[in-house]
Amino acid sequence: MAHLQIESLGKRYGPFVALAGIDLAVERGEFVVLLGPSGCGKTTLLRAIAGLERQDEGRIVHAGRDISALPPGQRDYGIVFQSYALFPNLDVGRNVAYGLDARRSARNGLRQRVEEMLQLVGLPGTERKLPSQLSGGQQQRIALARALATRPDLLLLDEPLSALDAIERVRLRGEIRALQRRLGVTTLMVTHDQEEALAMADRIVVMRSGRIQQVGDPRTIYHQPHNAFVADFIGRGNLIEGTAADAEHLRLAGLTLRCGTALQAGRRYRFNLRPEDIRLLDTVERAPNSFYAQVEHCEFLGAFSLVTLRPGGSTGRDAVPTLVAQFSSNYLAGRPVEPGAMLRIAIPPEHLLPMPEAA
Amino acid sequence: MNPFSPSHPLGHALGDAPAAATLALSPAGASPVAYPPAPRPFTRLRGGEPGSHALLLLAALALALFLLAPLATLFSHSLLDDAGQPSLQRFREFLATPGMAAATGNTLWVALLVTAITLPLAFLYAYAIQRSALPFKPLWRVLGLSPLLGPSLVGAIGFIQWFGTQGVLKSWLGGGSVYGAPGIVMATVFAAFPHALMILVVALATADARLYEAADALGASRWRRFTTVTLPAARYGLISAALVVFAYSISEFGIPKVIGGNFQVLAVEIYIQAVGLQNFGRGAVVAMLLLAPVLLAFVIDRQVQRRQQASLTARAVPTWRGRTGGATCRWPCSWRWWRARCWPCWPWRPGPRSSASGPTTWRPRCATTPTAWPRRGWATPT
Repeated sequence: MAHLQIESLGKRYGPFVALAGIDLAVERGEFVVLLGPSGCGKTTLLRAIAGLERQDEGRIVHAGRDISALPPGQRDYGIVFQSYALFPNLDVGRNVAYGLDARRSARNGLRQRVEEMLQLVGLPGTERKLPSQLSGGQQQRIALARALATRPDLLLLDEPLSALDAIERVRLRGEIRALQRRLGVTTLMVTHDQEEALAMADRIVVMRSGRIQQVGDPRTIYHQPHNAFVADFIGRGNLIEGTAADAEHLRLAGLTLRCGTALQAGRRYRFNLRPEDIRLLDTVERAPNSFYAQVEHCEFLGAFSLVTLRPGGSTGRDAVPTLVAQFSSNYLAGRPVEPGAMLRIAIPPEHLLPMPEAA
Repeated sequence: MNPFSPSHPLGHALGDAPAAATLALSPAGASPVAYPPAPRPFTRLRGGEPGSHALLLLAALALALFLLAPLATLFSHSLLDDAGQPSLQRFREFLATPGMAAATGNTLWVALLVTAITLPLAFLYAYAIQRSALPFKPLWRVLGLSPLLGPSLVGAIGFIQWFGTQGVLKSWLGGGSVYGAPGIVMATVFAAFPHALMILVVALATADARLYEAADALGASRWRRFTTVTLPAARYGLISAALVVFAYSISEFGIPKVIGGNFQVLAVEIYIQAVGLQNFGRGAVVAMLLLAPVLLAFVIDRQVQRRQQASLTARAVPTWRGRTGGATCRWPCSWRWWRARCWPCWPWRPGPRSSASGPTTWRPRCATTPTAWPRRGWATPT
């Protein structure tokens, strides 16, 4: 059995289904990110694990112990909230020691542990300050120290970075990840920021409407999304729908494209093609799945440009849907891409993988 | 050399910089853009609002006529001797009068005892109303506030009816008499209770659910949660309530007059000196003495307000006078206007305005721009 095992967990608020049939296994030392749009149930799931929300059905087993019905204080975890939730009337030292006091640790060991934790989060010597005297990022570090002070077996992070500004967010996310690796603590984090999830997670759990859509490591989630929702939620993508002509080829309006995996002739498939996977070719270069496309629109975004292309320059009813390609500025080497220009592009077959969920 | 003086080469640069910036910012040919002034700590009516100055003047006049002028008269009376010469004779006489020291001591210890009894009672009551699953809460609230319905001496008469010489419950006092200190304490607790209750109900109305969750998650006991989360959040309400009850008890006249018997207190002493003996001068001295604790209470309250603002978490932006900056709330029809205007002269404000709650349950009362909008409710699923 996995370190943290969640079995067919369900939760409703009246007619609203917050969680439905959630099954999840988290291994020891893993960093798992729950990702999804707001209202998808990711926070409810985290709160159910924390015992702050009681599930209607299903069970949660942590380290071989069924914690489904235990009150929060008897579960072995530390939690960090989006809004820090530091006790405003207690100074930093007493905030960090809060959980230790409750567990009746030895008094002198307490101070040492607080110092150690503040050292760990990079804020030594702040014991006597009040939370209101610290910046948002510092408060969140203190909250992290408080959560970790009791040496919990599980660390729960509820959107810990979304209250911070962009620079602080990126810095703290690196720190949290490094700290988690160093301590080896099993961690569950909730976020709606896909970049954060890709950067931090060992595994990502994508959720929608109270259900898990896909579980996988960041690369798999990004390159092989299970369905259109996952593809759309994470990164940009071109959704292509077409019928398989034979075991290898896909018919798409006027185009025939070779596919990376075996197909079933006559079946309809959905593909997700990342904009950066579309290649720009010279007129003489030979590549599979190459064709001409007309530039409809070009959006310059500094490091790269997003180019909307109409394959074959075709218009009318049976036209191929437009594709969005991402060309790095480095790659374009200063060549302007003007609307109306014809470009020769290619879709490498290895990037053309059908999504398992039926079209 | 002062760099800000015009003769300093830098002085010009510094002086001219804002003008240059304005010009650079405004489009060519257009007049410089007028930016709204930064919010000030104390709202002032924007000039150009019709009638605003007249209203302010009216309020100031009423204040001067009905509060400051009598106070000044009292003060000057207390500093004049019989011949009309300025001296401290009255104060010396007062100290020499037998019984006055006793009256001062009596007033103080009764007020302290009343505060010590009323505060826990009112806190428990308010806690039950705000934080428990008590049924019929509106009824309980009205019951708790009902002593407000009559003058305080009616309560005192009630205690006489129950516990007086002919009282049905006289035996409950164990042979003691209700006339004197016991009666005053009981009747004043009864009369001051609703005042404390109102403040504490407001103080306990808001709470940061997340702090309770954090305490739960860290395994805190119910008692520890109460002392580290509930009490600190309500502490400014508690201080305000204590000050109100204390000041109420110090200045109470009707109750000691009715139920006090021979027990001397200062408020009755003023009456005896000024009306009974026609000694306005000594009455004025006593009045000055009575004013002292009230002023003290006021100063403490102001200090508390300042500390309260500092102790809010960094996430919460306190809605403070003058933070609106919007179009509404500038008129005397709004409560906010009156609160801002009458703040310095109103010691019985209903408790702290924000009671140090976090961002969760806390809404600005009538701000047009939400400064501390609740991020997420208590149990909103995400």
